Amino acid sequence: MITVGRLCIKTAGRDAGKKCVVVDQLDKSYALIDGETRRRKCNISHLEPLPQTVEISQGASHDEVSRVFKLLGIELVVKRAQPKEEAKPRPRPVRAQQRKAMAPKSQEKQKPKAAASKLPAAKPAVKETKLEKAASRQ
Amino acid sequence: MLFKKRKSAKAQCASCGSMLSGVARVRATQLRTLAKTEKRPERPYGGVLCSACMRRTMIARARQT
Ligand SMILES: [Zn+2]
Repeated sequence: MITVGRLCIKTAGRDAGKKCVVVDQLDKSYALIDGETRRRKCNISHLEPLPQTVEISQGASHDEVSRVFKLLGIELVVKRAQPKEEAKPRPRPVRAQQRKAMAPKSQEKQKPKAAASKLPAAKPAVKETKLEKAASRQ
Repeated sequence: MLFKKRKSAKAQCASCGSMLSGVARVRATQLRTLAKTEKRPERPYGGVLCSACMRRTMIARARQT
């Protein structure tokens, strides 16, 4: 039943429910498949044969398989790495720009506050110690 | 006092009701930190049907056509 050119549906794993064609018979239990699925070795027990067969040679390339699938009315999605475009200087996101604009203001606000909070705490302590020292000297 | 934080319930197969493996059992807030592939199996009906039920439906669908 599982011979070269047999259309199958994969019944297990990530590619389950996708159509494929047997490209090569590797073993008693393994076949090389290609089509909507990834081109890979597959256990025959994970394939459900369909009544259709397709004329392809043993060990046919992916291009040949995609041509055959086109005749069946199935367009295979080609995933090829596209040449990378040169990186353009893109505008900074609006939020980041706003944050940048806000940043110096917030620093200015924080500084006086921090100084104010420090001074009252520090001054009396110093004064007291000075007074105490003066008192002790006298 | 220490309270043990409870796990979410085990996911069940929609067809046969058996416990599903490979589905994350964490709190909803933690679920947000996980990637999609870490939350459920990567096959069709992953996280909904168990593998056996999924295989059965796939075979049935193949034989219909
Ligand atoms: Zn099930």
